[in-house]
Amino acid sequence: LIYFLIQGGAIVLVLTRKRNESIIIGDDVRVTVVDIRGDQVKIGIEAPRSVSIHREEIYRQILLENKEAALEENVALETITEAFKKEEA
Amino acid sequence: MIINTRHFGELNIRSESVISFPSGIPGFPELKRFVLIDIPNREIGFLQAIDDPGIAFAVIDPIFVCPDYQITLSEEDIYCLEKAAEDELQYLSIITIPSKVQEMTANLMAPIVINPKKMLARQVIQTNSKYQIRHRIFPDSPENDRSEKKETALRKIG
Repeated sequence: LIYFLIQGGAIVLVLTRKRNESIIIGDDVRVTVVDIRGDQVKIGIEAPRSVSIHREEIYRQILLENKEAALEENVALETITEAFKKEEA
Repeated sequence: MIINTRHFGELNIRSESVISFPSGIPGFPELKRFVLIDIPNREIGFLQAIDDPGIAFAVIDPIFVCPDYQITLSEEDIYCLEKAAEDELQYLSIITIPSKVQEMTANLMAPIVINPKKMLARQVIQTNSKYQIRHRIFPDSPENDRSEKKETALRKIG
């Protein structure tokens, strides 16, 4: 069974897999359903080492923190560096 | 090479100082080249994007924030950093600066890891980290309360 779903504006391909069945993405990524228990699914991923794999919620947290950390246009750098001077003294 | 930056003006940098981030960093995937600006006699520095004058981060060696800081790199990290056995890596935590400067935090969970030999870097996201994404650099203390007021005064003048 294959169908498409629209989620958050993106078209998502939805297909059904059983335990130990896989999906191939591109030429070198294989995603396998390892185990299913209740509402938890264990997924095995084989991918080249250059491909980063993260749990989405952690990745998003880091992404948002990076955006937050980018220096604002009007920040006074001296106030930041001064904070460290005091700590040394 | 001369680059323009919003916070540091025009910078003349040597090509050997360019740090490559082949995957960018989360949130800024298109920025693949940065330069590290050292601040004399301070624990912090700044990571400035070469291809976007407006993007810079304050960074700190996590050892300063957490003296026994230690992370485990994955095989994938070592591969991407082209780390040879003898290569010494450099770690930097990105600092988030809230409106009260004294409450700034360092991202210990996802440090920037640099291989200075190859000038290659990436932000390492650890799956099971004991470290926080927002670790207070200056924990609360009565003294800090005082310096906070001074801080605010400084900002008004600046």
